Amino acid sequence: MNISLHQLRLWIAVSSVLGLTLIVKPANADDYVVLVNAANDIKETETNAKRIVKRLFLKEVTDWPNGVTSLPFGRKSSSSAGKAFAAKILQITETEWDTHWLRMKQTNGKTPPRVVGSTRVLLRQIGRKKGAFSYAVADQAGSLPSKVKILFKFSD
Amino acid sequence: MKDKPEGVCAPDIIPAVRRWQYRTIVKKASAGCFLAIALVILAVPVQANDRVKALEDKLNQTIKQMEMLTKELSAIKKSNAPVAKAGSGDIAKQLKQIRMRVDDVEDVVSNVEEKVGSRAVVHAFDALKLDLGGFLHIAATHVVGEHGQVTSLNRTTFELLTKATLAEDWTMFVAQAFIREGSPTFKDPQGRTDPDINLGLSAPTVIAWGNYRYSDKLQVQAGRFITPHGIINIDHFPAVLLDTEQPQFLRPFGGATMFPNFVNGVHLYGQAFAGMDGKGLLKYHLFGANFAGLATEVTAGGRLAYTLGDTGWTVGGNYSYGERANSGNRDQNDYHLFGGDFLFDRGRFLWKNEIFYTKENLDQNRFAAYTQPAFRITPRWIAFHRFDWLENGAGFGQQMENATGLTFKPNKNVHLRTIHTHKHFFKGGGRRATNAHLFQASATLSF
Repeated sequence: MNISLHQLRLWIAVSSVLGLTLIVKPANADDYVVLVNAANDIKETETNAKRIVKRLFLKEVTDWPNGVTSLPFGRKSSSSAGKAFAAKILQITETEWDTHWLRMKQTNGKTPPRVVGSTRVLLRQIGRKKGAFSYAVADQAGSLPSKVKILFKFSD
Repeated sequence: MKDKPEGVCAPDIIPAVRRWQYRTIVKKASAGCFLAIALVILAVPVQANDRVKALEDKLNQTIKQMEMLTKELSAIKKSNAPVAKAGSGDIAKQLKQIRMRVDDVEDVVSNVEEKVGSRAVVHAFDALKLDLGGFLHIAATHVVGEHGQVTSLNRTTFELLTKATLAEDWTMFVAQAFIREGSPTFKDPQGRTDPDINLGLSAPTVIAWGNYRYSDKLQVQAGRFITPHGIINIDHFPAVLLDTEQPQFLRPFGGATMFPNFVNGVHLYGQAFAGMDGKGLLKYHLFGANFAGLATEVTAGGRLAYTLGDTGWTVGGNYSYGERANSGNRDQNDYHLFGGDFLFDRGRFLWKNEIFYTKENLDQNRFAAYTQPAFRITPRWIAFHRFDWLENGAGFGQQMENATGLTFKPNKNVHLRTIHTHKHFFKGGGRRATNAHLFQASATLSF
């Protein structure tokens, strides 16, 4: 099969574009961070940390592995951070979320984590309690106050 | 006018000499004057050039100084320019941040105002936190028996749930029920062919416990609590149940067909992650209590359950010891209960299984089991079937139920159901076998 130079160039160009499309992260993909109080000396692998955060957030357990009592803060479920956290960390659907909390509320009075809209207010809240944690869009978290640190990052 | 030179005589020769001398002197004087004038004339431009040169020098110096100043000024301007630019950028950025913060604060205020408005805010007398919830459960049932049929809006139950956080590790939880209901019964002598429903009123305190949390591994509960056996008894509340009638061994409400549904006493429980790379969850319950129907005797037991990581499986084992109330000799009418439960909850499948056996000292041993597979058709629609078997030790034969239902959750606070139950009474104790059909529609609204 004979391929002209023009065809070869065209083929390379198309392949490059397709390759970049696959390799390069979509423009609308956000990075998110799970934030904890800086005094919380939890040391876990990222996989374990994600599992622990899920259990603590759903209040299946209440203590961090180091014994610190947890205090989760939620975000608006309609926010990009809320959606990404539910999909990637909690790995549950909206209905499963509702069912879980209905059961928790009615059997032992446990309620979902308090929702905080403002990232700035959230950072302040996390800084107040040793066991506090939540999540945010990485860009919104910006320069963190000294009392807050990143536990791990995740993408949607 | 020409002046004569002084001392010059005027004889003939002398005047001529004197004229010649005079002319010579005049010529010389004229030449000198001319030379002097010429010199003066020549001298003036020389002085002017020097001054011009001096002025030019000064001008050059001034220009140089101006150039230097200009350069310095330019340099200063250049050095200040980025600062000024950055400064204005910072201010704009800070202004933007302040506006965002104000927006945030306004959002918070707006949300609070929307929730509170001009209404009075309720405060707990003395608690860190007070949560209120509850549900209203309504059911209509149509029963078709061998010798008749009845229809009734037979359940209207309101329960108010209150949880107070007294301190970080101390909580209390109360479920106060207001009940107007009647379970389907059969009014024929054998109690199985002629259906009936008798509504009754009651306002029991279903649950009332105080809880101390030492850690996730150890918590202590005291008061009135749900007996920690099995799956559905622990779930208990209608809002989370597919079939609110519950399996046969948990009826009647508040009874003790196999074990008491509720007890008053002390309950130790906890959980820890163990095995399966930290994914396995081990839960334990230990309790010592009185059954309300037998207040002076102790019922004690426990449950051990293990969740197998992310597989969806939970396996539980149950044991308890207690006394039966319906005997003349309480001290001898004790029983040992053994039970197992298996739960699978993953994806679209939800499968609950429980099996219990009691070894009775005086009465006949009892046996109960059910299996209830459910399928999540969509997140809001669930179909289920329950096969339910009971030998209640009364000696009148076994009872079997097959319940098939469809539930729908239009939103998270409403649970609608329609269920058909085929009930079969086996022959035994002089009673003949028969069937009954129950059709029930129910709604549970919770908040």
